[in-house]
Amino acid sequence: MTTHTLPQAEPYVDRKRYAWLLSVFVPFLVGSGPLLIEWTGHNAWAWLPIAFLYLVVPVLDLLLGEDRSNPPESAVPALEADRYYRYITYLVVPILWLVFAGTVAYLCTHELPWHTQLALILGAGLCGGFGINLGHELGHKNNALERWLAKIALAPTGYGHFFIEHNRGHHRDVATPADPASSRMGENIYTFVWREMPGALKRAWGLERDRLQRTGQPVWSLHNEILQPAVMTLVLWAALVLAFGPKALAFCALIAFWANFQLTSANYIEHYGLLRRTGADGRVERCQPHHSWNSNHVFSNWVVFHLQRHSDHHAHPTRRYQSLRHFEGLPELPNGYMGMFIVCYIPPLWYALMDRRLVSAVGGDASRISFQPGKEDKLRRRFGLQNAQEVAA
Amino acid sequence: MSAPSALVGAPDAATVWHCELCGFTYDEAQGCPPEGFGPGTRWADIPDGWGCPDCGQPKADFSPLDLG
Repeated sequence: MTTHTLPQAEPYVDRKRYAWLLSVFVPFLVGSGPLLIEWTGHNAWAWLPIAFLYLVVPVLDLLLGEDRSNPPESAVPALEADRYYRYITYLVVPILWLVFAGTVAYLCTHELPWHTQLALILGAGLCGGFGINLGHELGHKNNALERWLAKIALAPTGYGHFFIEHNRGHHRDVATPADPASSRMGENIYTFVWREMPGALKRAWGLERDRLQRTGQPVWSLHNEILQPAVMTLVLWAALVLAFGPKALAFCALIAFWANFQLTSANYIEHYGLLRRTGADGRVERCQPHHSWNSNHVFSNWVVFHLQRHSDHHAHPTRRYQSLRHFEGLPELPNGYMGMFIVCYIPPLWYALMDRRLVSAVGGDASRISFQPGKEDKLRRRFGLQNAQEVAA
Repeated sequence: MSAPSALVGAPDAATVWHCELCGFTYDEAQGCPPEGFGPGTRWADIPDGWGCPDCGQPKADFSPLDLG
C-alpha cells in the first residue's frame, strides 16, 4: 500500500517512501570494503565507500538542496501505522552484525598494508555509526520488539547504554550546560568528546540504577538494560578473539571507537551553542524546535532515516522518522551531517562557519547561548553579544 | 503520536497523567511496574526526580488527564 487516505481530500502519496531504502543500502555500502577488495583485486577500492560518504554525499546535498515538504497531519496516523517503514529499519540490523564481524575477520586473515586496514576500520566504523542512528530510531519506540532491536543494533560497537542515556538523559537535559551530549559555543569536538563519551555512560548508569532500585531488582543482573546489550557485545567480541586471536580485540575496539565517534559528531553539531533558558521559577523552558540545529538536505536525510530533522524530533520524540517535519525559522545547518562532520573536525573552519550562524539563530541574545567556560567573555566581545534583558534595559 | 487533550480540573483529584511532550500516560490504577510503581501507586507518591520513561521529561511536565 502506498497511499494514505485523507478525509475529503486526495490520498496522500509519500514521495519519499522508497527513498528510505537508501538508509538500508548506504550502511551496507560503507561496510563493503572487504567485498570491494575481493571483487576488484585492488586494495585501493576499500576507500571508495569512505570517499562516497565524505565527498559525494555533501556534494549531493549541495546539488539536490533541501526538502521542506511535510506530510499533512491528517495523513500521519496512517503513515505511522504503515509497517513498511518499520520493516526497512529492521533490515539494517543483520547488516550491522555482518559488517562488524566480517570486517574484523577479514582484517585478521589478510595481510594488508596499513592504509587499507585504516580504510576498512573507518568503513566498518561508519557502518557502526549508522547502527547508532538505527538504535536511536528504534530505541525511541515503546514496544518490546523495537527496543530489543535497538539493543541488538547497538551491541556490536559496545554502545548499548545509548538508548537509555539518550531517551531519558539527553532529551531531558538537551541544550542545557548539564547535558554532556550538547556542545557549547567555543567548545571544539576534541574537547567535547572527553565530556560526551564518559558523561553518557555515567548518566545512563545512574538512570538505570535508579530504575532498578525502584523495582527492587539487583543492578548487577540481566534486568539491567545496559548489561543486556553489554553481554551481547562481550559474546561477539569474545567469539572473534577466540576465532582470530588477540589482534581481533584491537580491531573491534578501533571500529567501535570510530562508530561511537559518529555519535559524538552528531551530538556536537545537533545543538551547538543553543541554550534553553531557566525561568524565574527555576525551571528550564521546555525543549522547542529552535533548540536544535536542523538540516533539510534531502540526500543525507534519506541516508539517515530523517535524523537531521532533529528539531521536530526533540520537540516530538516519539514521532517515527517518516513523519518528522520541517518548520520555518529554525536554526539551519548549511549542509547535511556528513558535510558538517568534516567541518567540525577542523575547529577553526567550524567556528568560522557556525558562530555567526548561531548568533543569528538566537537573534544576538546571549542569554540563549550556552558558552564554553572560559570563552564567554571573548565571544561576547567578538560578536557584540548582550542578554536581551540587558538590551531592553 | 498525538497526545490526548488534558482536562482542566483539580490536579489533586486526577488519577491519569500524561507527558505533555510525548504523550506517555501514567494511570494510577495500573501503575508502571517497569518503573517500579505497582498498581495503585498514587501520582503524589512518585518521586519528583522521576522522568518520563520515553522522553525524560520531568514529573512536573505531566498534566492531569481526568478528575478522578
